[in-house]
Amino acid sequence: MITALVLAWLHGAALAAPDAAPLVEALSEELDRALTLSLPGGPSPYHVRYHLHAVEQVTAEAAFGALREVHATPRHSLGVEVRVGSPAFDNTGFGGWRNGFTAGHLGVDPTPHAVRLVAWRLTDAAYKDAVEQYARKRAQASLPPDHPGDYTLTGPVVADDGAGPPVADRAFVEALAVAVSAAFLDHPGLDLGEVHVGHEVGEAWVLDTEGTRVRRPVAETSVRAVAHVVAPDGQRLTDERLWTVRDPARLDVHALKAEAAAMAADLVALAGAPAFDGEYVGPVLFEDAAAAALFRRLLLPQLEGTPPEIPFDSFLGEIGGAKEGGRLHRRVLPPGWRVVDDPTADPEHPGSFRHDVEGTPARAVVAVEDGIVRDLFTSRVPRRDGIGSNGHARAALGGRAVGGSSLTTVMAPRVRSERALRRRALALAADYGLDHVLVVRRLQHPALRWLGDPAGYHEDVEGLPPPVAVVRLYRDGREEVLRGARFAHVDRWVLRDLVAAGESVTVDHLAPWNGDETGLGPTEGVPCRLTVPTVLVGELEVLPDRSDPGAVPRLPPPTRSTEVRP
Amino acid sequence: MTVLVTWWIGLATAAEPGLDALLAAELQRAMTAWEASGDPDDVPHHVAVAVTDREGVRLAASAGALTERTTGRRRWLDVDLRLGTPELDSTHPLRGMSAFDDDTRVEVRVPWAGDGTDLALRHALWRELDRAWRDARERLVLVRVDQAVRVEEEDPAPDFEPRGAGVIDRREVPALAIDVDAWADTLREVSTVLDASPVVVQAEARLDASREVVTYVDSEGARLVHGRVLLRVSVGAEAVADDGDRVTVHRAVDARTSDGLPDAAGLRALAREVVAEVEALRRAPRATPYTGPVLLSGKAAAVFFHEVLGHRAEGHRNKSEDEGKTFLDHLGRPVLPPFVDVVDDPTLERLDDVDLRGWYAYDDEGVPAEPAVLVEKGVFRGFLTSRSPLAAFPRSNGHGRRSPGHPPVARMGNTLVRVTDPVDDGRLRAMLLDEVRAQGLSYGYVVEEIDGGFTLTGRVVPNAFNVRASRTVRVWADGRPDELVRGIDLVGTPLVAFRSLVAGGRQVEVFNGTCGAESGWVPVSAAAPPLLFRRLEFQLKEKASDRPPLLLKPGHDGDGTAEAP
Repeated sequence: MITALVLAWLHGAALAAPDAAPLVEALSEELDRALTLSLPGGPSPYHVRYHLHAVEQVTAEAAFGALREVHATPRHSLGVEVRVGSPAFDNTGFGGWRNGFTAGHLGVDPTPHAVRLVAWRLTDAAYKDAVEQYARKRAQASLPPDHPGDYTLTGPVVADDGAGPPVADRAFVEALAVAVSAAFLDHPGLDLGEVHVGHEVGEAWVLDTEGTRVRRPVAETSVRAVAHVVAPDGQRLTDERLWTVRDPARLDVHALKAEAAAMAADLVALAGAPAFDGEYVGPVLFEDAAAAALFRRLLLPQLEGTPPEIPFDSFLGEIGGAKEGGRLHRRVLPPGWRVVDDPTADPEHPGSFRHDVEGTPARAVVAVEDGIVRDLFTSRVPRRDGIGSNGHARAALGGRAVGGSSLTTVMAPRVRSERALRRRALALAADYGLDHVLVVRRLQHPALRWLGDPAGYHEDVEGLPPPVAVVRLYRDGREEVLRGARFAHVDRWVLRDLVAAGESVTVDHLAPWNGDETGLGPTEGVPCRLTVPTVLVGELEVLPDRSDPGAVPRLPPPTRSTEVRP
Repeated sequence: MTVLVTWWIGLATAAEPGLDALLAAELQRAMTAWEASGDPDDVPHHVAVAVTDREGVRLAASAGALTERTTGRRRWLDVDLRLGTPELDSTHPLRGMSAFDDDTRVEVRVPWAGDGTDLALRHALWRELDRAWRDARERLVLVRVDQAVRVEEEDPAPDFEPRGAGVIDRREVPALAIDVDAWADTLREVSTVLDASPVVVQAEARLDASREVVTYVDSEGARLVHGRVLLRVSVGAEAVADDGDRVTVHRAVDARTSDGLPDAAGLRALAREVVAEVEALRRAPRATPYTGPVLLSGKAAAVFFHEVLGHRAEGHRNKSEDEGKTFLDHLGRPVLPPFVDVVDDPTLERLDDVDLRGWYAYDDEGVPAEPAVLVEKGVFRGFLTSRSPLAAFPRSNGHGRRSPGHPPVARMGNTLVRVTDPVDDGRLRAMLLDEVRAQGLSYGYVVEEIDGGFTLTGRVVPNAFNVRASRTVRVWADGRPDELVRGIDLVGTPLVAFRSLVAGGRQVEVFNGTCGAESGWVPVSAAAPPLLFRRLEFQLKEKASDRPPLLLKPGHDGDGTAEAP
């Protein structure tokens, strides 16, 4: 059935992509007017930027082979950034809300006039907010004498990176979600088994008062399968799979379904496994997706180069500034390790781009050489060390752009075979008096642990999230799977304790738009890719996860064969 | 706090053959498992399962362009499970700190299409039945402890009204017949009328249409399939006054079939009215706090009664010891003048030529809707009841309502105020001016339009109401022309306000809206004739403080550089 639907998509079931050119012209007129905004005694705008998103979106949710929700709509949105004062000191880089950045919807089929109206309203509000934020910042912030400034004017950038392909048919997306979720039909004892599909194509424009006019393609299809199971002692176990592609025709539905089914089967089996007990201090081998998660959580934040916001001392306490910025010349990995991020490396990946959200041409960054930070992912916010933007700015509409990763490769100086790596791990474990070494293959996605819970969807993690399972690997090759473990006392120093590396794995993830680990839906975020080696960490502390166990279902789950129809 | 608004958002349904049988079979499977334990506390004395299926269309246009075009469907599952006995069960209100440990249910969305729908539904039902049972088991312990630790309760009524054999009724719900493309064109065109004014900063013309089908089964054997279609077109506009006040005008027409909605010409006329009114309101002076005679239009009077009387006549509020119970002690005693009757009748589909949003066939506890007399000849006669009885009202009158994700409680449907001795409009105005003069005032007020309102019914907070006046006119005693004002809302407390009702008019008007309270958002209607009060109070409405837009509105900006006037 899916094959037929794929063919339908390929052969003309697509809708026309929205034509944004007339809207861009209308926005250009409002940009000209924006520079004339003024308030008595207030600073004038020196830079205004619009982001226009003209996309077709189709989203679908399914559970156990049945559709729960599907939406298909053209969607036009406008992001507005108003900077007042001067590049040396403006309203940005200071915590709080209503800071001069905002966003709004332009609707389904906006006319140039309708777009101008929305731009007029949003720009007016953003300018007033910017003037207030500028005053708050001036009143509160004490900047050091070597403050590098708040923004970098670069002159106009004009480029056309093209638009995305035609949108896929709604029925295709719907059928994709249903088909993959059917993988859970054989496991009705799962507490939760659902699939989310997000498909978005179109174009995104960056326009500013310097004359920048950059068109960027939007083309992403992300599929996320999530399963939860409750162990007999009430412990809740979760796992997920994410596939993100630029061209949905590249998705092999049968393969996705098979992976989801395997995940469900593993999870159900894991629920019956013994709980991790005792304490473990010793080497840990990170294989498969766990290796990528290790670098994602502990390395990438150290390479983000946009300086953090100065905290705003509000009546709610300090807002902003909690995150530490990346630093040059810091050792983050052992000698010999190298990290490269190149947004242009694979045009077929949805995380690839030629210009970032500020219109800056993207370029490859050798962020780490010989284990030491040599460059950072930067935006146009100046840094004291003088690194300018290297085209890595990312932002949600209405949010502050910050430098982030895209397609990242982590390279070890020496790669061992899987067998050799395990041998090394066991030898290291023996130094700790252990007859086994712990292996982790997947970490739980912190946001998805809460999917389907009243607590809502949020992603908030320090250190490393708990592993889905830990495996005790013995010298004779025997493996013992355990559930319910967590890492203790993990920080960025763990990466300086990488003892050995093995074969590479490539894993996609969706990074939060705003750099914070909060507020994302299952298929929302910036598509990113990490290629990393399997790694052996010299020492980690692993403890039982004694978080409050949930209730064990009292009723037996339904079975697939139960016939209840009249 | 409860809130009444004129707008709502809905998605929403379709009947599905056999769905009630599926729900009933799963319910039976669960009951069998619970009964097998041998512990009476494990066996619910009543369980109800409902699937609410909504399909909907939402269209909106602004400045000649479509801003929303959504067609969708959603389905929710609700389980209401009671452990214990009908006299004292797990839903019994808790007092003290335990009161904060209440129902943990959330909206549960369930699938509606695909080969796996049966299993997916049964899986969701399994999870929800299990969750509800575990919650109830825990709560039953707290309820019993509460009885042992605390003093005797004010209300000795049982927690539930068993009904014996459940009703079986499967109804066809009309299809949602909306020509989406035609409506999109109409709304685009109408929105250009709203946009034509240079002072309108934001405006919208919209259509919200939904079809809802509820499939309900319970452990008493009830099998119900019923529902309704709700349609609404509305136009609204916003302007900013020189003092920063954001003034809005909104008009809506509700119907149950598209024939009942205005055509393009009618909507254009409505849009022109809205524009004229928002322009006038922007220029109107802000009024100041006032107490004195007030004449409420039919719509305003309808909302007034919804807030002041209706919410306080909701049965469950007269069981909880946190509530003010304003009218409980007034049963059989006058609370209004003898020319006033009030009834809540969800069985009415129309009133004169107006479709009522508060119509329904069965409530959310499977009870057929029936009229409930609240006030008769000014005497308070009764309450709106669900299956959670009051001591003097042991049976439900079919007012147990909720939106998905909430336990049902007694709510209004169509609240109708009738005046048995009406006076003509001209006479009402003359009586208003007489009162103004008699009280030594220079003016009185007429509230012509309202946006909605809210009321507080608890004990800690003031037992007060706020009727959100959107069009208020100052009427001068010395004969000066009437003067439109802005920035004030009608406030007060119920018993005092009712005491000052003087007279009612003839022309009944209907307010269609959506009411929000502890059991969620439910469609309601209220109808009343104009009512004259000897003394009511206005307080200042909140006001924004941003300057009006600094640049002229696009399309009205000449060379684009001029300052706004």
